[in-house]
Parts: sequence; C-alpha cells; structure tokens
Amino acid sequence: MHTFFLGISLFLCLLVIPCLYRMIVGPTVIDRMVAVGAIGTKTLVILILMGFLYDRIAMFIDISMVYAILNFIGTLAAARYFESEGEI
Amino acid sequence: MYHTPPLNDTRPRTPPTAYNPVFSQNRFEQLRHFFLSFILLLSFWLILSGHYDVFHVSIGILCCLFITYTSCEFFFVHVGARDSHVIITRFLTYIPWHLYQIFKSNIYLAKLVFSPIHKLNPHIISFDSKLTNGLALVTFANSITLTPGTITIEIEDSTFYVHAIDNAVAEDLSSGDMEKRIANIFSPVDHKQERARAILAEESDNLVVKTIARIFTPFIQVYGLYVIAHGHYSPGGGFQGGVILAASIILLALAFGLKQTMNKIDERIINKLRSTGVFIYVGIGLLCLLLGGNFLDYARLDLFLKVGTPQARSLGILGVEIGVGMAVMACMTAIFSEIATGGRLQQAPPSSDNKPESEDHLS
Repeated sequence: MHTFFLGISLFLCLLVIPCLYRMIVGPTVIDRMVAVGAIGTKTLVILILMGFLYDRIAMFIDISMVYAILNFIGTLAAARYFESEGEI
Repeated sequence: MYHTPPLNDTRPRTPPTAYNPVFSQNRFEQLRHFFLSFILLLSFWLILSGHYDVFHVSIGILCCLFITYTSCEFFFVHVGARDSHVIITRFLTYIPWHLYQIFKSNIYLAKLVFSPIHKLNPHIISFDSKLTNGLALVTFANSITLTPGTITIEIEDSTFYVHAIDNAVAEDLSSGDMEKRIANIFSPVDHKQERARAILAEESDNLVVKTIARIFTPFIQVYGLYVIAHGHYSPGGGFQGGVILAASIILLALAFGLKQTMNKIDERIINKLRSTGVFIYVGIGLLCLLLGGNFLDYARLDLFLKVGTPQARSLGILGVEIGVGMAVMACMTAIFSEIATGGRLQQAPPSSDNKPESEDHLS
C-alpha cells in the first residue's frame, strides 16, 4: 500500500510541473492565479498521502486543512485585488 | 441569553440586513438557531480534537459557545432553523446523485481530452434560473462548477453565465435536472420568497463569495481555537492559531468589504486584545520568575496551581499559547487593515447610545 501512495504522490508531483510552467510563463495574471490554485489543490492531496506514508494521518490532516483555508483565502484576496484594481 | 445581533458594537441597532442577519425576531427561533449552530460547531471540534477527557471537552464547549455567540446567525441567513433538518436530509440524499454526475462527466471529459480529433467547443451559455433562495442559487452554482466541463462565471439576478467546454455538457446542463433536484432540496423555504428577494437584492454582487464566507467563518474560527488549545499535542500552537483566527476576519473583510467588517470588530477591541495577549504571555513568564524559576519555567507553577509538575507545565504552555494567539490574531488583523487602506481606515464614530459593557465582550 505504501508503494501505491508513494507512486501517486510522485505522479502528482510530476503534474505540478505543467502548472508551474503556466504560473511562470502564463501571459495574464488570471492564468497565474488559476495555476497557483491548481498547485495548491495538488499539494493538499500530496500532504494527505504523506500522512498515510508516515502513519501520522491526524497530524497531516491538520496541516492540510490550514493549507486549504489559506489557499482559498489567498485566491480570493488576489481575485478581489485585481477585480477592484488595488482596493479591498 | 442571546438577544443582540453579533459583533454589533459601535453602531446603533441596524435593521436586519444580510451582513447583520437576524432571521427572525422571535426569541424562540433565535434560541433554536443558537443551539443548532452550537451543536454543529461542537461536533466539528470533537471530530478534530480526539481528546475526550473532561478538560479538553470543556475547553471545546467554551470555545464553541463563544464562536456561536459571535456568529451563530451566519448560518441562518437564507434558511431558518425550523426548515433546516428537512433541507439537510434532502441535501444528504442529493450528494450521492451529484457524485455520480461528477463521475460520469469526468469519464466523458477524459475521453474528450484524449481523443485524437478535436471536438472541443468552449463557449459561454446563459440561462435564467427559477430558484429564488440565495442558498439554493449558491448550491446550484457550486454544483455546476464541481461538475467537470462546466464552470459558473457569474450569477446576475438569477441569470447564470456558465462556461461549457462542449455542446453535450451544455445540453446536459440545460436539461434542468440538477436545478429541479436543488429546487426540491430548498422547497421548504419557498413561502419566504419576499425575504429571499430582499437578501438577493442586497447581495447581488458576489452572492457566492458572501454566502460561502459566512458559512465558513465560524468553522475557521473554531479550527483556529482548536489549534491554539491543542498546540502541545499536534502541530500548531498560539501563533498558528492566531493566524487562522485572523484569516477568518480577513475572509470576512474580503467578502463584505474591509470598512464594514472593521466597523463591527472595533479597532479598540483589536488594540485591547493585542496588549492583553502580550500581558498574559509576559505575566506567566514573570510569575515563574517570581516563584523562583527562570522566565517561562512552567514547572514552578505547580506551587501556584496546586497540581503535579507535568500538569503545571501543560497548563502553563496552554496559558502562554492563549496569550500568543490573542496577540497574533490582533496584530495580523491590524496589519491587514492598515496595509489594505494605506493607514487611512475611517472608523465609524462610537454612537451615543452605545452600551458600555458591549465594548469588551471580545476581550
């Protein structure tokens, strides 16, 4: 089972690379924001898989929840910022 | 007893609005809202906590009571507690159907992506929804977004603008099956159309963001308090918990506007919290020093607390973490509001009929 989780984590890590490319190259700000959101979602899953790998799932679920909350608020803040052109 | 609108400190009692939501003036109804929110938040805490001894459960009850007091009406803007159990049961039966839809369109989309011939036809469709309740609209919008292939772009006066990647997906959406099911979930509140329309008129911009922020905020706050209270078992502690608490306030500020939020959470309370937090931290440290140990030498507190050394250490750390959490939360909120406004935040002047005791219910 550990090999399975490790394989999935590595595959997700590979999938982060295209998003990273879009984040760095992406012609518009919106592209970059969506790419960051996608990377965040993948990181969340990787964190939980890490929890299974290290047999400390309770701890990693705590961390991943904080990550989810901050990812959500961060995306929202960036969207608000660009929507209203610098005013919040 | 809960009878005042939450976080309404500096301004006279405003009429019920979406941000300052009072679903019903009926005392019994408000009590029902209070208990239902309390049970929701407490079950969330108990799922997180994993420590079921008297001490931790009582900390949980205190934290959940506090959060319920400040924000219990956040859950019941669109739907009252009286109808909520029907809605929750129907919603739970909706979830499997929706998961099946997600599964189906996932497979379809994967086929589409991997097929050698390009059949993609991304376009934006608009259609009018018959749903009147705000929560129903938000559920519908989020269901569309969760289903692969379609993304809700905007809701404007119950007109949906949806980006569809393919004709088949768009046709599937306009068949109206999903909308009918969601209308069925929220049919118990159909008779409250007037109120629903009033809320929709007020929140027509950013309906989804406002509704989701309102539902999430109490849970985020409970989570922050959980991180503070369990800092000595699990990752986190005062600093992290404080940041999460501040994040919940920043979320409110992003959804409802900074000015409106900072009018509800008085800047003076923020300042008081900041200094109280530092006072608790330094106070515990100095207490250890006075009892003959080093600064923050918690083991010395056993004389003072009349418990064994390990418990004294645990309690001392908990106390310090509470102080750090308060200070960090207040500082983060202050930093955010100062940076976002460039230091020119205009506070509403305190009104003359301000009750003196309402000032420090947060501190």
